[in-house]
Formats: sequence, structure tokens, C-alpha cells
Amino acid sequence: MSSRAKQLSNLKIFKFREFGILMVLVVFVVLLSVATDTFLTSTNIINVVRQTVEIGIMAIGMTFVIICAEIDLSIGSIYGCGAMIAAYMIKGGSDPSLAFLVAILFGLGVGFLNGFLSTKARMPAFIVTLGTMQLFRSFTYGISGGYAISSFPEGATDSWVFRMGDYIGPIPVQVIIMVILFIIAHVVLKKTRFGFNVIASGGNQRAAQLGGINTNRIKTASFMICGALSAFAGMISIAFLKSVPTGAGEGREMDVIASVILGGASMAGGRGTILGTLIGALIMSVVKNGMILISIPAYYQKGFIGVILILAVLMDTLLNKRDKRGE
Amino acid sequence: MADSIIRFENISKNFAATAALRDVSFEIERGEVHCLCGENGAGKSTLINICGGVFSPTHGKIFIDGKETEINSITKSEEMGFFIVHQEVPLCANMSIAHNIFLGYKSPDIRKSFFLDEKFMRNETQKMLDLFKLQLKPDQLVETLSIAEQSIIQIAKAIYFKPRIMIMDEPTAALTNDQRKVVFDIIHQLKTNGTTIIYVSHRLEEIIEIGDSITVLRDGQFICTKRVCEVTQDDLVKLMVGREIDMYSTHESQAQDEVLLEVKELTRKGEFENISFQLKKGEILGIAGFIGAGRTEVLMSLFGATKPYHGEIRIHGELIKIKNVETAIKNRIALIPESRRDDAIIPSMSIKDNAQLVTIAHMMKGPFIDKKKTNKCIEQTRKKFSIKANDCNLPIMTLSGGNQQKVVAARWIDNDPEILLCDEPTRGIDVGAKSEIYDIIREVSKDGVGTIVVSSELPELISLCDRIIVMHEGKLTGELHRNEFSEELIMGYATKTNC
Repeated sequence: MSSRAKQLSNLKIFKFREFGILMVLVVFVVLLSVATDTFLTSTNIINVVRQTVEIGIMAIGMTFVIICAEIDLSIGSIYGCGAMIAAYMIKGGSDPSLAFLVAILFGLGVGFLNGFLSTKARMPAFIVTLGTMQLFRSFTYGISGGYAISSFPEGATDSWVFRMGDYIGPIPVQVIIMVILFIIAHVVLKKTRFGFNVIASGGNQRAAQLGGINTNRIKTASFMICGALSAFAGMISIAFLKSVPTGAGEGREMDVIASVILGGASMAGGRGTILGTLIGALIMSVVKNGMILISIPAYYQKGFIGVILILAVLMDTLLNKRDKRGE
Repeated sequence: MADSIIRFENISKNFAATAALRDVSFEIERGEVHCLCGENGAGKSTLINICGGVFSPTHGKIFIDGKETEINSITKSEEMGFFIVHQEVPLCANMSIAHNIFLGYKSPDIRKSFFLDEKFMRNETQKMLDLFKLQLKPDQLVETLSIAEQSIIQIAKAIYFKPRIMIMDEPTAALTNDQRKVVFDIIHQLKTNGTTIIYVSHRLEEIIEIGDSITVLRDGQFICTKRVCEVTQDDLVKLMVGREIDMYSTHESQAQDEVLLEVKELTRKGEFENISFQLKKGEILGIAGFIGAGRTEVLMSLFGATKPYHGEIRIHGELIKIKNVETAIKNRIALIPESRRDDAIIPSMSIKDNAQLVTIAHMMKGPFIDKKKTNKCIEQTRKKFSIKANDCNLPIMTLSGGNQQKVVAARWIDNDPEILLCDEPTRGIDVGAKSEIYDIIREVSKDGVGTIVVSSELPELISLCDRIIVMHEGKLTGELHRNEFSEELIMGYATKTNC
């Protein structure tokens, strides 16, 4: 019997890093399934997963940035501003594909700027991206004049860009896109030299440099990935909502950072996984959805998320401490 | 019975499945210098951390002044009068030397009504710096100091704290002979004032010189406590490793005639000037000198880690401008840096990833890392460098310092370098691992690799090198061939007394 138990605890699943956070997700799902009749319905589950898409996609980029031991506060503004630029172009009669491309290039560009200023110009990324966050938020308001953009031309909404907001049977296309992006990101981080160098650069920048890794380039590339994916998430919101509010993505960076940290990445750099980030993002939307279902007043919802975040990181610190003492 | 200040009774400490200490019992007499020795992993650090209140023992009791005491926190340890000089220096890099010295100092001397008495702190610090003959100013920030200077600052703190029991963990690892003497003077001074000292060092000659009694640990077990006058260095080595090690075995030069590297009038303002030397294929060249003589800086320039330099660097006679680390690696130069923790180890990565940080470039299959190949290679590496790890996918921090250093060496030697630069390659590692590192260096020199070793341990340079050049304040002051090697001569050049 005891050997059986030992065998069980030797199973790979108990050893993998994300096990703890996966259990947190499972606990929330079980609790909500018991507490409400509405949570565990196919419509609601699909809804919850769909609500994970934008945060999830942005969190992929943020995972790279955080593993590099940097931070990007500007993603909400990249999301909003990119979407706003694209919406303006489409409304003005441009091809939606072109608008999509411009939005992605915009994300890459802001990412490059963030990367350049925080590596070559040696400024703290927190300050740099706080600056670009404000800058592009104000552009978003400036371009739109404070009004949401909607009612796009007839022909435009038939483009593939808008198909991203559709459903295939019961499954939202954007969910499929998210899953594909997560798989690609996982492979990039785990199996490519770039991913290896990202972990090395964030784990010990000096050692990575002396190992011949151009850490500035690696970090800048991570900011660019993060920018591009944030703009991409903005395009998905256009496709789904067929409109862009002026405050699109405002405050989104906090949810995204929270997902990544919930997923086990370390703000000190060098640690984090794509799978963890996915679970972190799912927890965020399950909790948000659950709070609505059990009618927690809207004012307190953010506070609840804050408590979960602190508890998750506390748990991780305690676990890590135990790991370290076990040297 | 002698008057014991600390008595350990059946102390055991387990970490998960491994026992770091097993049933250790011994006592330390009041007012003595009690040395702890043993290889890395013998349990010395664990014992120190138990005294410091960082760990609690799994079993066993500690008696202080004959009373059973539970040291369950760092504060409690301080209350009991412990002061620990750690091997890795915990100083505040962004504060001045003076502020670091008096950090945590509770006596009212440093206060003038509500304010800190800056003048007092500065003057006291200046006195201390003069004592160590350090050319530093009390207001200088600690981050501008070298590692050796930082460890002196940490030891100096002890003078002001006047502890009852001072524990020193490898305090002299980064120091030169003269600085070491000052540390010994301080130890003597503290001893006359009634401080008991627990001294941990890998340098056996130091233990013999400074210690009153010695406790040897091996694999977490107590081996023996002896008076220093009863033992010789050889006895100690035998007790520590349970086997005999020939530290300074016979030397066979592998140097060939072909000049591999030629450095001409290399200069970097404020660091070193007009450095010229040659390195032959298979040669092991030592660079001796004091901390701050510019030795590390020369290596950093050769490796492209600091830029730019003036002067010429030729490899195989071809003039090469080393712009950055990538150029250096392309020219098959490798560097084992001075500080393992700051410059080499990536703590969040596994043993395997750390060992393959550089060689991963050759283990790609299209855009992807060839996992089969990396697994095969790490097995070979583990055997070749006898890295003591059951599973190379475990975090690097699970290894002892000596094994971490072997991983760093493997990282570079597996990349097939032509020129190997080693900066203090055996700092803070145990006797066994040291001789393994020497073997590694000797082995690559057989393959024609030219090696430059910077070290503050003269016996190390003397046993390892074919030729030694000596630096003093950024300038070359001497060159010795193997038949001329002597500590006195090298020290003469390093202090510039015989030029």
C-alpha cells in the first residue's frame, strides 16, 4: 500500500511546477460548480474561456518580458491605441488586412521603443513603460476625440479580420487562436535558443552576457513580442465587438501582470512558464465570472482579485523558501 | 572539565531526504580560536547557520555557557553574542563604507542627539582603512569596491561589534597575504579581549597558524577534535577526505613553441597600462599581484567584457580587435570569472542548462534545441568533470560550490577554447574540488589550450603555472620562469620592493 502511495507521488504530474496553481484553479471550479447552477453549463464555460482570450494573449508576451526581469505597463495602451488606429483606418475605407498589419507594426514599434530605452538607454522598464503607457493612452483619446468608433463599412466586416470574432459551431474562433498562440509560445520558450536566452538573461544578466548572450537584444525582442501580441489582442476585440471604446484596455496591464504572477513567474526574472500563465489567466476569468454569478457587488470584485494575487504569491514564496532550504 | 562556551550535543539536521549533519557532538572552549574544517558538503555551513539562527537542528541540543539554548531566530543568535562573517558578503552596495561598517550598530557612540554622528563614523572608518592599508575613502560606495575589499569591510565590522563568539566562514578567501596578516592581527586582538572565535577555512596552513583547536567534519559527521599542536597539515587532509591527496604534484610543462596569444602595450585608462606578454600553446601562465593591481581588468579586456582598450592583441599572429564577448568567443577565448555567484551561475536554471549555456549553440536541430543531444552531452560532461549530481535537471543551486565551479569550467571547456582565462578559479572551494580543477586545467593544456590563471593564492600559482607574470598598480613589474618561482620573489614584484 505504501509503495503504491509512493508510486503515486512519483507521478510526473505532482512534480511539475504548475501543479499547485492548477489545484487552485480546480478548487475554484469545483466550488463554483457546487455553489451555483449556472457556472457549470457549456454556455458559461465557453464564455469564461472566451473572456480569457485577450488577457491570455497579452499575458503570453508579458511572460517573456517578466522572465527577462523586466516589466511592461504600456500593454493596455498598445491594445487600445493599436485598435483605435486600425478602427480609424477601416472606417476610412482601408482594407482591414492593412489595418491589422499597421496595428501589429505599431505594437512591435512601441515594444522596440520600450526595449531600446530600457536596455541601451539603461532606464528602468517600469519608468519607460509608465511613460509610453500615458503617451499612447492620450493618443487614443486624441484620435477618437473621446468617442467610441463603431459601425464599420458593410464590406469591411466580411474580412477575415472580423471573422476572428465569429464562432465555429459553439467554439469561438478567438479561443482557437489563443490556444495556437499558447502552444507556439510554449515551444518557443522551452525548445528554442531564444527561449533559453530569455531565461538566462533574466536569471543572471551578467552571467548571460559573459556567456556571449546579447541580453539587450533578447530583452528588446521580448518587449516587441509583448507589444505585437497586445496589439493583436486589440484586433480581436474589434472583431468581436465591432467597435472600439476610447478607454479600451485601460487598466488591463494589471490583470495581465496578475495572471503571469499567478502562473508562477518571478518578478526577479529567470522563472516562469507559458502553461502557468495560461492557468493564471484562466483563474482570473473564472474568479471574475464566479463573482458575478454569486452576485458579489462590483465594487468589491477587484479587491477579491487582489487578495487572491497576494495569497498566490505568498504561497509561492513559502514553497520556494522550502525549496531553497532543501539545498 | 575545561570551561566550554558552546556545547553541541547530538546535533542532526536533515534537508528533505539528505542529512547535512548526523549526530554531531563537540564543545568549544571559552576564548579559543576553534577551527572547523572539512570538504564542501561536510556540514560546516549548516552548523554555522544553526548558530546564526537560520536553521534549527532536526535533533539535538545546544548548550551555551552550560545552559540549554534554543537559537530559533537571527535576533536570538545576536542576543547570545554571535557575530558571523559570511563567505558571501552581505553588504549594502548602495551605501558608503562608513555606513556599512556601522550598519546595525546599536551603541550610542554613533549618535549626536537625534542625528547620526557622521564625523565619528568617518574617522573610525578611516582608521580601519589605514589599518588594512586600503586606498579607499570612508564615503565611497561599497558597490565600487572589489570583492576582496568588500570582505575586508565585513571583517572590520566585527571589531566594532565586539561579539562574544565570532564565526568566520572563509574570511580570507579573496585576500592577499598582507591583508590576511591584518585579519590575523584582528583575530588575536579579539581573542585577548575575550572573544571566542570559530574559524572555517580551506586553507590548512592558516588553520595551523591561527587555531588553538580543530574539529574535523566529514559527510555531516563529527570526526575528531584535536589541539593544533598535535596535528600536521597532512594529518588534516587525511582526516578531512579520508584519503591522501597530493596537492602539489609534480609539474610537467605542456608549453609548445608556437605563440598563441600576443598582447602588446594593452592599456585601459585607470585600470592598467602597457601590458605586454605572450602566451604559448599549451602554456599555463599565471598573473600574480594584489587586489586592485589590474589583473581581473586585463582578463576582462581580453574577453571583450569591458570596452574599449588601446594596444594590440594578436592571436596566431593575426591582429584582432575584441569588441565584445561574442568576438572573444568567436576567437575561441573562454573566461571562468572571478565571482561564481555574480558572473557565472544562473540560479534559476538547471545544472544542465548552466553547463550548456555556451555550447547550446552547437546543439540545435533547425530552430529547436536537440534535447536528445543535450541529454547525451550532459552525461558526458558530468562524467568528464566528475560533477557530483544525481540528476542534471536539478537546479544548479543544489550543488556545492566546488561542483558549481566544475559546471562553469565545463561550460567553457566543452566549447573547445584555444585560450582559457581563469580568474580565481578555486576561490572558496574545498581541497578535493580544488585539485580536480587543477587537473582540468592541466588536462586542457595537454590539448594545446593556452591558459591564463589569475590567483591570489601563491602556492596555487606556483604549483600550477609554467610561468608567472606579476602586476603592481596596473603595471607589469616582473616575470618568472618555473625554475625561479618563490613566494618571496613574487611578493617582491607585487609590492615593487625589488625593482
